[in-house]
Amino acid sequence: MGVVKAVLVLGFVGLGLIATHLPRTEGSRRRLINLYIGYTLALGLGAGLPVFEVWPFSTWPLVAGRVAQTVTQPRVVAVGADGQEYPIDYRAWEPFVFEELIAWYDKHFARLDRAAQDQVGAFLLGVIEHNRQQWAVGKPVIHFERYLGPLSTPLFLGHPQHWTQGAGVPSRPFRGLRFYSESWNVEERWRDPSKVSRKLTYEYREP
Amino acid sequence: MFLIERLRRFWNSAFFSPEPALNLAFARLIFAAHALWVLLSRDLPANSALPAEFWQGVDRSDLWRYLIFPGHADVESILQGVAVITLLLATLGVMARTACFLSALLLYHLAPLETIYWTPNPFQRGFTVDVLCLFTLSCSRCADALRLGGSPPTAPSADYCWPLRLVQLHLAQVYLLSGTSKLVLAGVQWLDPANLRAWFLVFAEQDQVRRLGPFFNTVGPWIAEHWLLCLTAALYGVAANLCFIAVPFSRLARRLLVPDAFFFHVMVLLSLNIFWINTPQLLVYVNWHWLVGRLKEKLAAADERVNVRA
Repeated sequence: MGVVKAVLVLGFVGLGLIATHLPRTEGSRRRLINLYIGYTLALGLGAGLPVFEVWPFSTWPLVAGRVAQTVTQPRVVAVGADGQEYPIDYRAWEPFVFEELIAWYDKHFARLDRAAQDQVGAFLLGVIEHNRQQWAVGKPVIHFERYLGPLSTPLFLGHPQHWTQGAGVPSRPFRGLRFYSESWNVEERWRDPSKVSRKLTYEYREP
Repeated sequence: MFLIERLRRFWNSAFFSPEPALNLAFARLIFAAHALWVLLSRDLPANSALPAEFWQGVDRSDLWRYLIFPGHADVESILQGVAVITLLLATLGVMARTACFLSALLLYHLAPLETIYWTPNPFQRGFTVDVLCLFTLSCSRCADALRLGGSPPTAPSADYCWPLRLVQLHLAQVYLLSGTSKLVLAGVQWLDPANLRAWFLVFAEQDQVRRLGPFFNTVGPWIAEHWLLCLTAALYGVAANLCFIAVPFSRLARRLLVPDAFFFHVMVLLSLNIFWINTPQLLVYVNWHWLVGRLKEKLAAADERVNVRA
């Protein structure tokens, strides 16, 4: 299917080039430009209206569904040598965008065997711990702000900056990661923020 | 026959009316600069170096589709560097058509790196409209104005019209499809005030998805407490999205719906914490030719007044 989508996009690119470079008369040029515009509109609407992406002709399903009564979200925390849990600053995941990582975890992580899960756990702990060390010595590297600093494009969703507010950067090394699945009823939690059930779905501890 | 003739006239008027070169050149500037802004604010090549476990669930045909071969972060870094250069050239209007084409091609390859390990559809990460527009601009005389070492032609032409209208349509389709996808995926029940209330609450309840500041996390819950406001937000959101497709074709729609879209994005940011990365692209609906002309007139008038006083 991916190849078919690539061919459809190639049609958009190719028709544009043909329409503007090949014609020798004004009439044939106008006809090809019309064809190019028509193809582009048909592909854009043909992909979008039935919600069938042919990126970059996308479907834009933004906040498009109905909210389920019970919402489930993953939460990842770092674990110190003493077993204490620490929230992870979203910038410490970079070059991952936090919500992309969480989406991958939701979709694919459970399908990996235990050895592969531990490989991922070790890799992610390495990313987090490396960033923690740099932040702890006052030399944070924020990948996404390397070039433009605070003028960088904000992320689609906002996240709390755990390591520059409140308790700041934990001083002791992280030794593990815990992945939880948190569920709650939207109305119940709104009335009482403590109404969240939490289930440990995966834990990685450094050997 | 009458209808066909009317459609033909509408089509020709929409896509082949005389248009100043400056408006198309500004479109080039807006989309190239926007893509550069997003590209310099991410680290796309690093994702190529993710461990093999992250690539296990990826469809091979999607990798071929974008010509992504995992494990080549160095090559991706070079490609990103080339994309930065071509986007700079496109922004400055130097070899603009080639620069736009290469930029679009490179972004078509680079942008999916951000999400490919879980979805091949990297929409709403900033590059989607840029890729479409840069491809379209590469087929046009987009550097007849606003370029280094040149002066703009004075005569408006249809050659500047159809590409400008098409890039405006690429952006307008985003709003249209955002509206239709709600109705396709959830039906008219999406408009149910209870659904809107749930959306506002669920974003307010997630402490992992939160922007800090006095303006955030208060508007959404406040709207959620008022049934009528939820209904208004639902109807307004969908209606404004669907009507936006008129913007490229109607001056009245541009005057009403473009500022409205800006207001809409501010409200979404405050109530749902969602930052709409495409917001600066709304500048493509400004009539820059008219605006620059007015500014020149005002400056000339001010100069004249100074001279008279002197």
